[in-house]
Amino acid sequence: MSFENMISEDLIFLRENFKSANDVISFLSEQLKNYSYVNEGFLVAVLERESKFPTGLYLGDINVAIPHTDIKYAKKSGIAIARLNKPVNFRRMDNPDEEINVSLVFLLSVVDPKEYVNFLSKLTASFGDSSFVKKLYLAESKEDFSKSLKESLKEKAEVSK
Amino acid sequence: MRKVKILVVCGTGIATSTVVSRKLEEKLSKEGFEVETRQCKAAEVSENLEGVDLIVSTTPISSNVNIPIIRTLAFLTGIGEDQAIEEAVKKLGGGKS
Repeated sequence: MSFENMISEDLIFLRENFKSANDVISFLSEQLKNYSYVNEGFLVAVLERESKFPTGLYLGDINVAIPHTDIKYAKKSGIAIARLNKPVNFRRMDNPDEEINVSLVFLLSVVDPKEYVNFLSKLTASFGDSSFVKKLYLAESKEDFSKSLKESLKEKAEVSK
Repeated sequence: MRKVKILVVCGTGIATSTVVSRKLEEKLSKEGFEVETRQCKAAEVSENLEGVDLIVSTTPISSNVNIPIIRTLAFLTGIGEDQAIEEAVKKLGGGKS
C-alpha cells in the first residue's frame, strides 16, 4: 500500500479537546471503526496495551504518541490522527514511569506488519525532524496537514533508497 | 563480516520492533556486522534469549538477563541514532577494525 493511501483526510482531526489519553484514543478508535478499519475489540485492546506498554514519544517541545495493538483487531491498514488544543498526558514508551504532554496522537491500525513497517519507519523517522513536527502542529487545515505529512514520508523514502 | 544475533523488543513485538530491526540491520552492516534479528514482546524476553548477543528494546524489560541491553527510541525517531549505534557496536565487542 502506498503512503498516499495510508493517510486519509477523513481521519485527521485538528483543534480537538480531550481530557485524557484514554479519551483521545476512544475518539480516534471510534473513527477507525466507522470507516471499517478495525473491529469491535480494537479499543479495549489498544487501551490495555497502552496501560502496560505506553507509546508516548518524547521529542522535546511537541510530543507525540503512537498507540496501536495486535494485528488481529485490524481489518485495513490506516491511521487516525488528532491534534489537541491542549496537550494530554501520555506515559513514555522508553520510560513508562514518566508522563509527558502530548499534542499529536497517531492511532495506528496495522494489518500486515511487513507492509506497515515501511510506513511506520518513515513516520517515526519524520518525528526526529523538529521542523516537520512543528509544521504539523501549525497546519491550518486538514489539507495542509496531510500534505506536509505525505511530503515528509516521501522525502524520507527517497533518502533511504 | 561478524555474525551477531540481536533480540529486538517492544510492547507488542510487532510494529515498533520491526522498524527497529530493519534500522539495526542496515546500520550495523555498515559497521561490519552480519545481523540476524529476532523480535519479541517485552513479556517474552526470557524465552527468546538463545544465541542472542545483544538486546535492543524500546521499553523497559523486567526479567533479569545476563545479555547486554540497550533501551532506546533512537532507531525509531533517529534522535541520538549515531550514539546508539556506537553503543551497540561497543556492546557487541567492536566492529570492523
